[in-house]
Amino acid sequence: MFDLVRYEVFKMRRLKKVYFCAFAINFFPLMILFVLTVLFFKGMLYGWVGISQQMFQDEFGQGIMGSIVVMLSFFSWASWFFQTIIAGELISKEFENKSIKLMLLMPFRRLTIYMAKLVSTMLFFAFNMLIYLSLTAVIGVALDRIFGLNVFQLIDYPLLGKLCNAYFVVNVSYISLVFLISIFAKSSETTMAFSIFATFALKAIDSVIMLFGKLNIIPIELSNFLNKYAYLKSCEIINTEKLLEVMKTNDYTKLPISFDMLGVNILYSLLFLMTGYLIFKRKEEKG
Amino acid sequence: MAIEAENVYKSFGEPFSFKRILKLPWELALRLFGNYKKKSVLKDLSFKVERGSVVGFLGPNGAGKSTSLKVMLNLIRKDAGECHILGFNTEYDYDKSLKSTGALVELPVFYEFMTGFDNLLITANVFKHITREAIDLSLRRVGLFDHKDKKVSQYSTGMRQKLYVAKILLMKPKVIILDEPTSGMDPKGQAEMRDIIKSLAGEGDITVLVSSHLLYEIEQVADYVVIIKDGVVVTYGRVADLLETEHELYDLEVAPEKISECGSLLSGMDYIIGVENTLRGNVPYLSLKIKKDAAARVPKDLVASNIDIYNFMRQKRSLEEYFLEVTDGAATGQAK
Repeated sequence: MFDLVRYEVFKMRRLKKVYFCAFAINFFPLMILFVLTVLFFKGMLYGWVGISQQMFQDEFGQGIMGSIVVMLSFFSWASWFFQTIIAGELISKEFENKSIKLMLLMPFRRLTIYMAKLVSTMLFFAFNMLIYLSLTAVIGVALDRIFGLNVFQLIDYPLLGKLCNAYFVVNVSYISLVFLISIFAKSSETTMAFSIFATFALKAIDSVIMLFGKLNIIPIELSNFLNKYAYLKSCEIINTEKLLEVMKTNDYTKLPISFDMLGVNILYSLLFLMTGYLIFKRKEEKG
Repeated sequence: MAIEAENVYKSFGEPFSFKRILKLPWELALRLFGNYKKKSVLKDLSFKVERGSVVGFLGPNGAGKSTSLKVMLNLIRKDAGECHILGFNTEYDYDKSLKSTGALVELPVFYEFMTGFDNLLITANVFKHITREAIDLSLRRVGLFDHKDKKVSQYSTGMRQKLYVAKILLMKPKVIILDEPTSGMDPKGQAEMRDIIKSLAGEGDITVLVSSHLLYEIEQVADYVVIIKDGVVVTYGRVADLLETEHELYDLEVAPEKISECGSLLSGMDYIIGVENTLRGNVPYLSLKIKKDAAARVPKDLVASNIDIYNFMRQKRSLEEYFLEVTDGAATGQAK
């Protein structure tokens, strides 16, 4: 399978859309870096050195992890949004312009081809997460070196690690759904449109179940049970109240990153991937 | 055997469309009562291809040639039957069966956003023996070296065909399956492709199965032909044997004023099966059906009767004539 992953990566490296998506996903830290650069030159021009470490800690110390979480959340959504284009290019478009035949005529099983596409899309995500974290680190270094503000002391690394892990698992779940959709869709654009629709449709189902529970149309216990396993709800990492509580107590178990979220996401990922693979396996090359 | 197809059946239902969704309840009811009919394309298709041979795969439009090739390569699923390539079942061991198979089915497809060179280089990720030098050599062989840095989207159909053949050559397969390899090519390209197929056939143990409407091309390169019609094999055999006839056909041209005398004379000969008066342009001539190995007697008898011979030429039965005979004159793509 490693050979096929390399094959897919080679293809992605030649796709202009991939570079556009990578830029779009990493837009947030790139924008901050740009603002910092402007501030740096402005400071050089006017002899302005910014705020002191004490002022910084007083003003932003408590919120720095919150900012990182917001940035990661933005990254997660941006990744989800733009990875639909990648999945669309790798599956929908290939079926549409029949270039999938190039892979189907290779000595590999359909499962290997499907997994190679999935792994390469996940690699794209991991690569972007690496760039994102590196850019964020560069921002931290810039704040430290240029403005004398030590951001790294304020970061809760175990929490950050857990969050990265959680976002990765959430992304697998997103991509699984997108892969399932891309098998039916005819282009990357249709994949994106249907993915957005499907995600919000799932969210709507979740809301309807909650509403039905509150209106006693279905038993509240059933509503609560189903709500716990709702697809999009399980992906909600940012829960401000829980996050603030964790930051005060350092009790990570209170964050929805345990079974509540990861377990359900893995379950959904498996469900989507298996359904997607069964359709991919049976999908015939167009006559 | 290099390729084997045994009792293969394939039928197609109505393709997916939104209209079909509306008709689904009706379709489900028909399926339930066993009245749902699909369009049957392959009906008990069976043939075998020996290793190292070049086989022409022929049939009129809609006979099921492309479907057969797709089924053999497991691009589409069959309803029943078995296909083997190099002894491997193409359904259950298709990764093994495709390991030494290079195939071009219908129009050649590529990654349009890549250059011709990159489209070949990408295969090096899977086939480790492919090097940049080998790609250059392969591109030179098909005459595309000067266009290697152009994007495939700028290639003509003929160039794409050649690029695909270059890709197949790089893979060094034992079995090559080509579906209409000369479609969209100019006469020069067709001749080049024919030369490539001929040279492949000369490279040891390579088996080539080539489907084409250009029967002259097939006659030039193939050792065997498989002719299918309505999803069934109607003829399979060595080209030379199939074109062999019990009698020999000759065209005879004599002085126009002597043509009726000549006709009467030859009709009375025991070695002549039939004589027919015909015109080629404005020139009258006789079409003779002669018993095997008796043709040499014609000039002797005519000279003895003082009839001058202007032209006496053997007419070989072409594959096209044979094809039209066995397919009841079904229109070929060439006729289009």
